[in-house]
Amino acid sequence: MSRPPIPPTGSVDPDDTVLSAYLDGECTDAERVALDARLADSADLRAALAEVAAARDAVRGLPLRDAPPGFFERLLAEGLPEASAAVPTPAPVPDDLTARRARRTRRWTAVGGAAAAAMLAVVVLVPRPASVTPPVATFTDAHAVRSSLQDDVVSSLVPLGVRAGFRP
Amino acid sequence: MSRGRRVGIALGLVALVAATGATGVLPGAYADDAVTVLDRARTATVREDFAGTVQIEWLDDGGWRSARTKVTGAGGAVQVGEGARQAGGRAEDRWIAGVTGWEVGWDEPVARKSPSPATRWDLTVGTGIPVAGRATVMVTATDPKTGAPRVRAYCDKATGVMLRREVLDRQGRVVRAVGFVEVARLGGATAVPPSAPQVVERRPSARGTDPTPDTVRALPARFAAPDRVTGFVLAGRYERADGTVQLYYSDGLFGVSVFQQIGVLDPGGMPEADARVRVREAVALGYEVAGGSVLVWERDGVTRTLVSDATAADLREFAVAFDDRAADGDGLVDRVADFLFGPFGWR
Repeated sequence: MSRPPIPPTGSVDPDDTVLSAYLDGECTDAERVALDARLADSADLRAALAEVAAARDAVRGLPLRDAPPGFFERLLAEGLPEASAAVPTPAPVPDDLTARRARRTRRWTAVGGAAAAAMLAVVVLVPRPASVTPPVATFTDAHAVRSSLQDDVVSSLVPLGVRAGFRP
Repeated sequence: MSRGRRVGIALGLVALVAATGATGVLPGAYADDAVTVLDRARTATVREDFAGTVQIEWLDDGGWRSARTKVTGAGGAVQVGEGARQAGGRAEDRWIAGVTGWEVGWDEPVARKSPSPATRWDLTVGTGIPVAGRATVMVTATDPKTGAPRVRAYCDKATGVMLRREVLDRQGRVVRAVGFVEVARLGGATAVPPSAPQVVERRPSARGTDPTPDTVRALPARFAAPDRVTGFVLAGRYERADGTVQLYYSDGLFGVSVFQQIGVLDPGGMPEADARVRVREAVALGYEVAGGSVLVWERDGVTRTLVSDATAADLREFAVAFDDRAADGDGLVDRVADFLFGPFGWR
């Protein structure tokens, strides 16, 4: 996925994608130098960088979990809920506050999206162990056979001559 | 010797004989003699011909259950059951009757010897009750910690063949018994041994339940195989065609098989359990069947099935200890030693 270039000094703040790339060491040398200079000048940018770093660490610290049985089947059967139906219409607010909220919303949307993507990747990519149903009657016979080689043959093998006793 | 001393000695002897008769314990017949009686019983079915009916009784959550089957022994070959429920044995070979005919049940040599039962249990020999009209010698194995009898084995006085075996719980109550209820013939290996069963090849689709395992030296990393578990000693490790690993443990009196499979337990496909018991953090399915006690549980993606002729309580204790050792993992030294010496039974 491509990301926007780092804006020159004095222009608008770089977005979270750029800051994330900076933290991941994916910037070019020139971009890093430019961003270092802007971080030195801007307390807001340093705070934003700290937020992105904290969110990224939180996502990476999530435990690995398998989806519960039937999760994907239910998801496909029911579909995703309509997001717009659940979101109330916001009240009018001043322009600068709106801009800050919008920026924060974009940031947390990105973080949330990253978390969801990470969870989905874990669920899809981590191989789930197969389920097994031990053939207990066969195992009981196998134990009797092995036991008869070291203990009394008759009393060990007798269970093989009768019904095992498992209830279906 | 004075008259009074002679009378005292005579009274003492009378008291000793009376006490012996009351308890059924033969004087001077303790662990060594008991081990000899049990060893003789193990080989008696090879030396002696026999025929009769054996009854097996076991206690599950619904009460006592029982079943009977025919047994014969001729020329060292033993056959149990009839029709589709049949098993046979000669030397270290075992066969099981399947739906298509005889199948190989075992064809591997047993390298490791069982520990002596006297290592873990107090053994005594006494006069037993008659079994199917035959006079018997009784070996009692007692838990040295509690003093409770845990196994009583009744062996034919004349031939040494084990005629009845009772397993008792920790309170000294019989919970499982296998014994002759009718003896048609016993003694004298005069019969011509029967020919070995004609073994049929298993169909590929049935290999998932192939009963014939192969001896293995080392196990895949996720399978645990501790050398000792609560007084039981690892006596063999085997792998089956479907990848299931079987470990066999023995304390000289009881045996425990541990079957391990990669995968999470699907309880929906299991038979109805007699009990649910806790094995550390897991809930295990418990069964009491003719073949013994069974416990099934899963931990960290490995499903374990334990089968034993020991009681359910003893098996649970084993399961907890095994699970504990499995969580710790075997050390490197154990693994190397097992790989080098396991096949020779030197550990």
